[in-house]
Amino acid sequence: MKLQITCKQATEFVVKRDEGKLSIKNRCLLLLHLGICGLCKIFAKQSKFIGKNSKNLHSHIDETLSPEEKQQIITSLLQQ
Amino acid sequence: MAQLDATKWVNDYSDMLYRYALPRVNDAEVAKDLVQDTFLAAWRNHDNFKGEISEKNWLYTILKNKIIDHYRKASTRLTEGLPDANNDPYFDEAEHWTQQAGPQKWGIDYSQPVEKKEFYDILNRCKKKLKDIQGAVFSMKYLDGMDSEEICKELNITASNFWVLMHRAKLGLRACLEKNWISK
Repeated sequence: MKLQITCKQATEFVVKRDEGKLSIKNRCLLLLHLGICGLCKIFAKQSKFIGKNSKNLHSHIDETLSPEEKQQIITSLLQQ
Repeated sequence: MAQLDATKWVNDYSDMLYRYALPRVNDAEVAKDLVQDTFLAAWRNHDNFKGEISEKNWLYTILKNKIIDHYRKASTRLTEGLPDANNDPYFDEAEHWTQQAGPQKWGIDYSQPVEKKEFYDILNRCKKKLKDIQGAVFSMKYLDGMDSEEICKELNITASNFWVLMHRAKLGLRACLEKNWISK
């Protein structure tokens, strides 16, 4: 069995692990890689961080439609 | 319906629907069109509205379907979201990080949720830079909490394509956040 995986493979594994979709065998290979690769270790933390914080994206949006845009929708409804 | 209803309807619900659509499609014009289409569809089918769910949830349901349709259109341009085998900005031929793409430490506590609005504005802008189909799988997973199998089914893509798209989405967002949020 090949024990070494590349950084490209390791980051692919990280993305699967974030979603709970990495097999036990590949989880072991990933841990071995992360033990020796600082860059991929940083990627793993940041990848998880991005996923976690994106869940809140929706509640931090405060854009609104302008009164003109709203009026345009109202007009289009009344033309039906 | 009377004029008053149309006005009240749009005033009550349009901003809410717009804010739902915007981070999912990352384009103000598209989001606006989807909201307008949602009202039009609801208006035409109002006779079929049974009142089993609230009017608000009914509008949300219509909008969600319209957003999925929008994602499906992006999935017909699947290849633009897949990496170019001959020119990968992130990994070299030995599949190591390239000099310019290697992640840097951000010096933050990754376990702490971010509260600052600035972060979400930048995240939104970074999401907008992704290829449409990459943004679609990312939104379906992380904004809507869908499972990867469900997403593949909805978009009619293979699991292997899904993982490539998600990998590229995360590489892109990470690099963009590092550049615009951390080291600005």
